[in-house]
Amino acid sequence: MADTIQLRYTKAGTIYTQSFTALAVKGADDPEKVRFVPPLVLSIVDGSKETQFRGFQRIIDFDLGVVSSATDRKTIQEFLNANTRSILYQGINVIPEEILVVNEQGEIENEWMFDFSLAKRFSLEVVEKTTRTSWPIVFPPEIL
Amino acid sequence: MAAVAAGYIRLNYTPSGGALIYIDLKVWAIKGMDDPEWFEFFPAITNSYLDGTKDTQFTSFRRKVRVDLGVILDRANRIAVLYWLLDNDRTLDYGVAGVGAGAETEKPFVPQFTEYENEWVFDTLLARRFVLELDESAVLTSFPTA
Repeated sequence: MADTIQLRYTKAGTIYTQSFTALAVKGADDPEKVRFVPPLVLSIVDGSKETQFRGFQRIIDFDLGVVSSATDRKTIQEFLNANTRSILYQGINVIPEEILVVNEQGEIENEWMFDFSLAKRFSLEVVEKTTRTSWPIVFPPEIL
Repeated sequence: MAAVAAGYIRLNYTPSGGALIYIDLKVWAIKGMDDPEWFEFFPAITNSYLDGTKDTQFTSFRRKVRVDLGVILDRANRIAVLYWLLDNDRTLDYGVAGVGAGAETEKPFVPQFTEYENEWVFDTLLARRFVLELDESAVLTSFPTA
């Protein structure tokens, strides 16, 4: 089932928003792709190992599928280029969650599905800006 | 607390300031835990002498373990796997079947990587498969018998 997400970013003091249909979202609702912070694995002189994790960040993949509109593609570029950006995502929640994210990739390339220039597919990988110590509580409709 | 059953792994962890929690998960495959299949030597010293000879100065070894938990359907268990990896005092128990049956208990392990990602089998989000790659925290001088 496709999800609707909203990309939000600030450019020259103006907040822009644009909704997209995501074919798949990985890592937002469920702990599927995670980075531990600080990423410390200590090797002690006696040979033992230990970690010093304090929290984690969600790494979230949004598969937007083929984005047919040139305007939408420019929006994606501006979203990734902005330094203040967030994604409004509902998923299994009743209430949409605004996730502040960063783009760690210095270079982005879309995919031409079937090597076809009219099938420009975009997949966004973003990292949650804040560090968490517990998985966000969600309120799926079935438990309300 | 009953011992972990054969073919299962028990993940023990303590959420911040809380009591010890554990979950038992069925293991589809485990490599390196009950058989010397994947290990590293410590200290990893190989000396090369001026006359061309070589020798080692290993004193011990560390088990490296790959645990295939298969598809974990229960979301609470998937979150528990995250919390187990996050806890710096994480330990695991493993139940061994067949020859040498028994269980290893409260063995501290560390994840090999500081990031992890599950796999969507057949690209479906309903089939979330978890494979954990771990290093044993302590070094050993002989291979454990369960």
